[in-house]
Amino acid sequence: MRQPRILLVNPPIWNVYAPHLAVPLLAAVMRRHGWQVTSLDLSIEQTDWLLSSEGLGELLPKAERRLDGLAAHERGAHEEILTVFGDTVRRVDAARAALKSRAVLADPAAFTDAATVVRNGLACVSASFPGLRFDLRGNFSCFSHRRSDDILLAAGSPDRNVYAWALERRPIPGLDDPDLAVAGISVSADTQLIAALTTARHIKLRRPDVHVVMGGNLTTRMVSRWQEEHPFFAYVDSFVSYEGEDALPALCDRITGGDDRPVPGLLERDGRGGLSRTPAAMVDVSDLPTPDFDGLPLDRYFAPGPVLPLQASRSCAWDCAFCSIPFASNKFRIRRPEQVVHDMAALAAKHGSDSFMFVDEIMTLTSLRGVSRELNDGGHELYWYGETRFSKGLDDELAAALRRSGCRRLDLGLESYNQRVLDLMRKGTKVDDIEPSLQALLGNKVPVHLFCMTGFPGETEEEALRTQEFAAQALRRSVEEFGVPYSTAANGPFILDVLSPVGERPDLFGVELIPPDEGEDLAFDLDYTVSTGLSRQDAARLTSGGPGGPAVGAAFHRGTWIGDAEEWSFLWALAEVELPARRVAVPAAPCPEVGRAATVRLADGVRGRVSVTGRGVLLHVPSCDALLDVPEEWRPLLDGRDRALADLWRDIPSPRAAAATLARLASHGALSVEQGSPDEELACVWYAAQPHLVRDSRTDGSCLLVSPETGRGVRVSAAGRLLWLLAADGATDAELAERSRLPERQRRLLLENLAEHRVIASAALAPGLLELPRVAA
Amino acid sequence: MNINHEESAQELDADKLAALAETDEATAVQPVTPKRTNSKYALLQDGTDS
Repeated sequence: MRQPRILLVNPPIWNVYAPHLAVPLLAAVMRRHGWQVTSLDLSIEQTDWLLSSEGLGELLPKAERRLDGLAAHERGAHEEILTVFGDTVRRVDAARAALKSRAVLADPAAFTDAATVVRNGLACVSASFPGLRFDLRGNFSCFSHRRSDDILLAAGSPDRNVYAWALERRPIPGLDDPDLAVAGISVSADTQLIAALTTARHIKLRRPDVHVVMGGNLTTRMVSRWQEEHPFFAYVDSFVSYEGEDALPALCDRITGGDDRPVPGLLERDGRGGLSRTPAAMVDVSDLPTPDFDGLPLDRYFAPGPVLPLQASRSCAWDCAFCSIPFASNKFRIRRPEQVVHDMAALAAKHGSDSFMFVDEIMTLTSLRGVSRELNDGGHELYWYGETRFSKGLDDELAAALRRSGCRRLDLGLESYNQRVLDLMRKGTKVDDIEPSLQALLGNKVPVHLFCMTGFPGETEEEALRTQEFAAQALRRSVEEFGVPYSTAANGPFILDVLSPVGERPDLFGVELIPPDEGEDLAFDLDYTVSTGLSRQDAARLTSGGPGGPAVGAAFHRGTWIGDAEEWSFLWALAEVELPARRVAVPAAPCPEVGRAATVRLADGVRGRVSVTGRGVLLHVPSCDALLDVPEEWRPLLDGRDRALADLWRDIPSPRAAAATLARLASHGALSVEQGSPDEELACVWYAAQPHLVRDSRTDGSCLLVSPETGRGVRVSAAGRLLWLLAADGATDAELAERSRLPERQRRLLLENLAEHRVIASAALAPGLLELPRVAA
Repeated sequence: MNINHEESAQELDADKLAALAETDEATAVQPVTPKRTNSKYALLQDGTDS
């Protein structure tokens, strides 16, 4: 007799750099129980496809169609992305392949190129749906995941819901399998909720006989509020709270008639408009089998690995005031270290990967000691990272053992570097223990990641800044004092979770909750006011980076930077390689030689379109990932053919402005120029490489020059600013010398540096052809 | 596109700048990383980006 089958789904969007542990854990349990299992990580399947040439190619016409219907203030950013779209479609498959290749770890330039293309791909997906910000951290759309009615509306709206759109084109395979009896959907975070209901609907419409069950951390939080039958029951038959390893086999047995023992943590309809609940049970984590990753596309995650997730413990041993983890994950339990290391060795042998991430809420000293001891005693060559907290026991002896055992990163919940704030948080950490632990880890070459939190109720701005300074200093010391360049830090605002101790007893923390908007029945984080200290708005301000945020020009530059992912930091630390830059290396600006008979064309790969928002012609230059706008007279170049400069000039009213544009295009590598008459005498002229705005002008004449196109800034002294100003509309060396009165060496070095940072550019021009401009006396 | 730098030069014209530059011996310029919008997961700026 054939065994029934269960489909286990991890919906988008979850981490795309490594598999989620829930499906492999449940797959192992269900296989041990004798069931056939299909594991589906829809998060990576959909994301990987949407960011492919095929997926983006299908989206391009959809994105094009949206342009006309957009409000005026949205059209500028949209047409920028459309300008980049074609190039991204062409290059995204190679970019994704590069990010999944081990070779890219030791090739920082290749990483930056690939990550840049994928980031642009995120903008392309976003531009294809109304209100969507498609991002590897989480997606935000025109539907709110805080409202049940919006989520249900999204589930049936493929035109506006990216997940439904993708499912229409790439349906879940195997739904016609007659053995399929149960579909389990694991929902850990609110970023997955819309896709989870969309998936449930997709399954139910095709297989109404299949029992759809939803579980996971967010499910536990969500259903704890429900007092009566909820509309989600339209597509979901039952919900499991807390842990699924005991509940799922019991539920499956009941569905197939094999057994009717109680199903722990089950929520169902009672048939009278109400709900029936069973009490949850606690899983013995030492009794669980090794997670089973069979069926997951381990070669498709966006980091070369795979970096496989494991747990050495479950839930959290602490009760921090800002956190709701204890609410939704039962009591703290440790898996025996010898079992943990057995899991690692078995998975390494099976999948050929030596890289692991412990996804424990926190690895206690007991786990850290036990796992490192087992790894060291067994002589394993495996590498891993995990999360813990500062404590007295995190000393030199343990840090040395961690390093020997393959630990190449520890994430630490620093939260604050102020004892008063740590005490308010009930963190249980002593500030005096932080520095010794930090020194022990870095001294033993274990990179750290510091989680900082700004704006816990009662915290002052001075205290928040002290924490930020400590973290910044720790990163500097990691590099300079300990030779460890792989440490990182994050600073996020306090988020008031209604299921955390602060949310449950706001009065104890001087907090007053602001109720959610009408209809936001699934809001788990709330706005609030405080009686003292930083407000929510203050926290946002102190963590937003302040002025000089994302460039207003390049809308496609705003997505997740893949190099920020913890998996990548770990893999670079493991490989001990040079870290990549965040931007593509811009080649040295050429000085074009332009004679009377010169011909020009767009350089290879440069594509453009005529702006519909009055910005002339938009050009994307892939070699430096720049978006330029030039006057519409340059439109003839868009066909990619050689053009005689003389023909172009006929339609251009001002040769002076045209020369500036020519130099600017050439400085970005956007133009290919054939001089035409090599013996012609040319004059070197300096021009503005791109528009810059003066910011932070000081009395000594220095200022910050900021490009609105790229967001990059350059701080210049009075002399540098003077040269920039004089060169703005074109000036020869002699004119700059005469007007600036700067010593020759200083002038030359400043010009070189300004050119290197794309503030100014030079061109060698035929004076007769171009009517060389002169700087006003 | 507007490359009218004088317009945005915040009240310092070339003559004023030339006077200030007389005592300025700088030969370098310094790239400044724009701070990104931080999220729970974003890195602190370390100033190494260019």
